[in-house]
Amino acid sequence: MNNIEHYPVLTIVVLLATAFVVPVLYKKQKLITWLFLGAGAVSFWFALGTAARVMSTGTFASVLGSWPVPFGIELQVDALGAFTSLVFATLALPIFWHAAMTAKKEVGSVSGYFTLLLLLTAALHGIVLTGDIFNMFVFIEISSLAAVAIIAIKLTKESIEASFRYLVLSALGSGGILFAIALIFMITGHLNMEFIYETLLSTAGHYPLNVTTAIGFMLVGFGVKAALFPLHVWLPDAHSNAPTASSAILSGLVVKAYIVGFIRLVYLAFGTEIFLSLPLRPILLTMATAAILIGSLFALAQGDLKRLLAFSTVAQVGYIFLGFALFGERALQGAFLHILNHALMKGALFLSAGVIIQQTGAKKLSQISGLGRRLPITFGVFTIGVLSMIGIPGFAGFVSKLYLALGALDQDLVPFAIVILISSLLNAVYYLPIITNAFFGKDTELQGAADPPWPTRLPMLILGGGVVLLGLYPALALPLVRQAASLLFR
Amino acid sequence: MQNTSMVPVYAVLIPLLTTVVIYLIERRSWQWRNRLSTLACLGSFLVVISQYQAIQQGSTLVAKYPTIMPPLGLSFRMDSLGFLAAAVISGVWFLVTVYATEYMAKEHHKNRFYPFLVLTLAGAMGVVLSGDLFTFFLSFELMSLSAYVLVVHEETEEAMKAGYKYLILTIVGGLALFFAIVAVFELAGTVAFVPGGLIKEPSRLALFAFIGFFIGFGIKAGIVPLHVWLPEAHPVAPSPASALLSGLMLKTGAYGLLRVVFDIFDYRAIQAAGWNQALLVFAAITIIMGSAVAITQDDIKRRLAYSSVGQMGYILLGIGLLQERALIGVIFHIFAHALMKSTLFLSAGAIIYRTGKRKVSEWAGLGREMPLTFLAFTAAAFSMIGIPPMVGFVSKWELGLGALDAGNWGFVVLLLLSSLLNFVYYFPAIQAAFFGGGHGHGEQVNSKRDVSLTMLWPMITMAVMIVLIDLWPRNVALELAEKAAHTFFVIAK
Repeated sequence: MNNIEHYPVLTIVVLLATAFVVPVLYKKQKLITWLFLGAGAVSFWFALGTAARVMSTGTFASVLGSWPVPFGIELQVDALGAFTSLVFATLALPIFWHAAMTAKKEVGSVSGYFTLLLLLTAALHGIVLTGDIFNMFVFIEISSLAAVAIIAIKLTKESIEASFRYLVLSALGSGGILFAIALIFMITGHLNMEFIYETLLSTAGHYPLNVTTAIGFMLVGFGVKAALFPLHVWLPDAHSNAPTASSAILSGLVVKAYIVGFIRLVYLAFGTEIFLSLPLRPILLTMATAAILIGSLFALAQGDLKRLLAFSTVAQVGYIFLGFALFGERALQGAFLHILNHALMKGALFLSAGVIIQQTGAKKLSQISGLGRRLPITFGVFTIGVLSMIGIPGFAGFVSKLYLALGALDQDLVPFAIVILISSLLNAVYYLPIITNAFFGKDTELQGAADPPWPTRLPMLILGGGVVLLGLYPALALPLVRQAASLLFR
Repeated sequence: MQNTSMVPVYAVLIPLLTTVVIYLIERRSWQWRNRLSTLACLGSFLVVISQYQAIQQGSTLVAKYPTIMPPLGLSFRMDSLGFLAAAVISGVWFLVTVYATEYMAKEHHKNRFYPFLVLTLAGAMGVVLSGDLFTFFLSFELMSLSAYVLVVHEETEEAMKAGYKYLILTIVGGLALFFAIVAVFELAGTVAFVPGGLIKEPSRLALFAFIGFFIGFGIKAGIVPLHVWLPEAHPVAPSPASALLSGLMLKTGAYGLLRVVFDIFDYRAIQAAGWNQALLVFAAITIIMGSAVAITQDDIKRRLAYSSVGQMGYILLGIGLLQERALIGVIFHIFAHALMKSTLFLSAGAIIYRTGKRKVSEWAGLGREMPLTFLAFTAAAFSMIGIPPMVGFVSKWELGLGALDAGNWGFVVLLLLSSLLNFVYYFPAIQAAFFGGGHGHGEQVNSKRDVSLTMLWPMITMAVMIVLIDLWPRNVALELAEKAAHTFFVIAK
């Protein structure tokens, strides 16, 4: 396999190309479904190859169209990018599958929905793989617009309102990022991250205001898009009103791409020295802590299943930022692991919640009573997700919490370990009653409901199984995560 | 002497795998469901006691799987303390399961009850046979969470409320343990149970870890003021489950505390820092509170549950003394109280099963109708009060001597006071049952009203052990307790 350096590009191109083929063939439903799933599978294969290459030989660059840098665009494939890209490709498979099974019922235009999902996933891979900041901006724009569209595609009043709010705030964020890119270009004259880094080494001292402003705008821009508290206001409406597959992709993958994008900018373009010289760590720590605690508290007050899951995402994003801001080796490993683990468990939760809503029509927590006996498998998956969220050992969520807590103690910051504990407790308080009520509560009028047929069951079962597998055998993900965390300490 | 051996693993795996089998076959054959449930407990018990010889010769059986969940890894270990605890747990579990096959026969949701009963055993065996804190924690959570299903079995509003309290406090305890384990890993770089301890120096983080352990195990063991879930959760569960919760699962908290004080910390560091003083204070409060509140309860199961709180105070007291003789008392009491409280709950369950009378005040004359059940109840109750030669006397004796060795005669007074309180709340019930109820009742004596043999023999077996074990020329349990206590103190030096 001597052409493996093209794999990262192919991961993106396969998805992008299929996105353009699908609408053309919109009349052949069966064919486009297979194309859609096939593209997901092929891009997964390429992502796997990329990850294998990074594991064996380390970071490599992949130049597009043989245009030499700094004029051409290159993909800077490092362990973090390859890892996140692999996470996206892996998670996209079951979620695409679920989308293919349910799209007809949930959204109006099936081919449109598939196109948007493909575009979105392609852009997400782009964000975490590219080595060029303007290229990154383009991918961010694609993903933002596609993300807005996969919410609005449900065409209900709430979803259109939610997507509009998302669009406005996301556009503000994009503006911030673009402005930051302009500032950086002004000082360095480069868009390639490697070159920016080298130029900044000598010029950053002369333009302290530019650098600070640029990082500030970056933080706000990415913060809005990643829903970092208090910039999260759009998320609960957007994630809860979207179709199920969209919710899973938005909560599980999209917010992560922006976090990873930000982290990559910090160490690839700015360099960690500049990051640490500014008071960014305390700011991020404060925001992350607030996100974790307040996100969980808000979730506590929700009566709607999907809104509850959405608020829980706000808290979980806080975990990842917390791990990053603690800035120790183990804390970073925890943060990166949590990108994977949270995608798995939130995916399992959203898919099973979607199945519950689809099979029974129960959207409110109060309607769930007794349904666990009717839908044992669906609620079984939901239970796995919940136990993992709380951090019960044997489930994936425990492992990332373990690393995050160790990371906090490494820095001698015991309070942050306690923040993790409090949030886990809050998770238990708002998640567990759902399950106990479903399995042991009194029967309600929704009696005829049953588990869905096997093809719809499988995607959520795969995600639930992934949660258990990574909980019992985290060594599957650890080598790449370790390599990714060490990147920030070069 | 350490020997690599799969035995501890088998003891955990047998119930764990049987759970799966039970789940698969239970819809086809309820007979096999019941049989397999009992067999799983018996199998686990036999596997454990087959190693008596090896344990007696002082070897420790170890099995390590560092690759399963890095960075912590799984490991299993059976020393004399682990052997004694595992034997008691699986043995009593077996007897209780036999009892349950009859007791639960008319209940609903049996297909949910049995798999979780056996799964909880797997967790409990994992707890006492784990070789490090992480395996311990994993098993502890498995046990606690699957026991939830046993607690809320009745699905009444009362049960759901008690269950919710149980669940939330279990999670709180789990998180406290999680924090403590992370802190230990941070301090020592490993979480294995090592005789002599890992943490030799008291520090701020070590204190946090100690507090975390205390909260985590204190909640499970029902130490006042962390006991709030216990008097509600134990009575609402079906009687066999109450017996397991009160008789065995409380002990895992005490067991964990023992392991932590001696195998994770160096007990001399704890002594030097004075943290054991805090344990003693909580122990005194727990003993007095538990016994005093028990007197005021008319519901027999609530009375027994509060009595368990008081008894856990003894164990905490013995640990807090950090003294070899007291420790023998602690370990023996773990064994003794498991037998006594299980017998009490099973016989109380039999009485409720037969007559529906949960209130002690309604028991007048019942002893003449159900003589064998009440004999078992009486034996266990007398043992609780501490009447020689029953097992309860032995543990109190050792604890008292330990307190004197430590120069703390105040605690001897406390033990005596508590025995008096035990007398106050157990004796009137027995007296009323055998001699109360006036003459009118006496004539309608009908010994056929006693429960069937399936329910009777588990209680009687345990009652006989309560009476005879100390009269036997060799008190095996006491020998093991002495050995375990001795290792804790000798190896540390």
